[in-house]
Amino acid sequence: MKLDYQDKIDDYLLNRMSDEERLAFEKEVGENAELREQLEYTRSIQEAVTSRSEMLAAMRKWEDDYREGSVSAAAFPAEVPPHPSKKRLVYWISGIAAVFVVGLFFLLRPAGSLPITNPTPDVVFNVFYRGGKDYSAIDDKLQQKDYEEALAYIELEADSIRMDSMEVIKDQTIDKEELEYEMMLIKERQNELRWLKVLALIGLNRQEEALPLLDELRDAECDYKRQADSLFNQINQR
Amino acid sequence: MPIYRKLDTQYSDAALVEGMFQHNPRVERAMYFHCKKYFEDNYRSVFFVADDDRQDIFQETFITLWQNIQKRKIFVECGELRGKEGKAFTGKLTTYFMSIAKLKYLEWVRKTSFGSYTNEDITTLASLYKDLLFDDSIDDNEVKLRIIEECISHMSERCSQILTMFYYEMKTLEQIMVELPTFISKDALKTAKYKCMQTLHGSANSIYNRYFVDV
Repeated sequence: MKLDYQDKIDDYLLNRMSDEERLAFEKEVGENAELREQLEYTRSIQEAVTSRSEMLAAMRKWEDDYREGSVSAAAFPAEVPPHPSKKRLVYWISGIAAVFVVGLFFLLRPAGSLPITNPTPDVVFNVFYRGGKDYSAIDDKLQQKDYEEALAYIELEADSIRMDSMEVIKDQTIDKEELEYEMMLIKERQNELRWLKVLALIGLNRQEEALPLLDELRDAECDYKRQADSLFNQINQR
Repeated sequence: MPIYRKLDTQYSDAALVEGMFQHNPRVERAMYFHCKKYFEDNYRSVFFVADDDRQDIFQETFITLWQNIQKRKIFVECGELRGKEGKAFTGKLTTYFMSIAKLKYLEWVRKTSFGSYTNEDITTLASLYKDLLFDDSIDDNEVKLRIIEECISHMSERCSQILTMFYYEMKTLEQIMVELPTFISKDALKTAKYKCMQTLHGSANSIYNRYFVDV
């Protein structure tokens, strides 16, 4: 490496040369192997420093966003299946399994009994809640029967989902198909949150407020459709 | 509870890698918090360091993972995650991530204790370098480039500042002198920058000779 070469190399890489100077320099590079090697080395440093700085800046931004709370947990879709056809297959298997389980239940249950005789949230939670998503803080509160706190968390998450959906809609970088997919994920999360809200409301003896949510869930294409329908009917019969 | 613990993601490994390769900002962010959570939960089984150093090791590990994805060192084919020589991954992405973290930790040990590796560490490091950062199929120049990228993460704070301001922020020497007033002349700054580049060059050659020629 030669210090004498470095100024010209830097001017060339940082576009600080006139057209004539560039041409002259490129000619010199073609004729001087040592200069060529030093140019390539400097170019490697420039690329590496730039790439590293951009990555560090992105990481700092993500950390800052979360510290400021401007981006929510809901910014992360709970589950992305590897391929749509696999998801369809899972739906089919789940559907067949559900029909089988329901059939078995009706065959074995004593005549006249209901799936849940007393729909308290902990009973409903243990029987129906699928879990596995990232609402662990709400799950914990429900398990601890701290329903007010669970409701507060749910409201926060609902706000987050609203912000997230706005973010997705405004995102110019995603195409139509991706947008539909992201919105589908958001809808899934909304339904899960509705279900958790139902559990919290039942825990607070606010069944009347839970009913419209159950009504929405039983009409939606979601994991809780059947359970919501069953619970809706039970509360209505009381 | 740290806030990122709420941000864990259930993206599949393949979706994360492909999303990062496609520069999807949402996936990049999801990958960051996915790795961060796993790292925080598991680093103690690999090494033990103070909080600040742990954060540095995580950051360097994530950068290397990101670079490996961008350079197709790991990639997705037919929905399957693949790595060295195009072979399918047998483990999880987080396991791969922690292997890089171990490499970064050993580098950190070298940096802080002036090379007091055990023989076992040297063997581990050599093997990790070859397995994780480089590929037998790439040529010498590419290997050297990857080593330069690696060495940049171990530069002194001062060198890092000078080269970042000069090559990334594209500041002139005069502008850098305003921000780094310890340099009293333009020539002194120019010489310092050149020495940083020379040191980097020496470190890169040393790693190349140590792990790709000697071993």
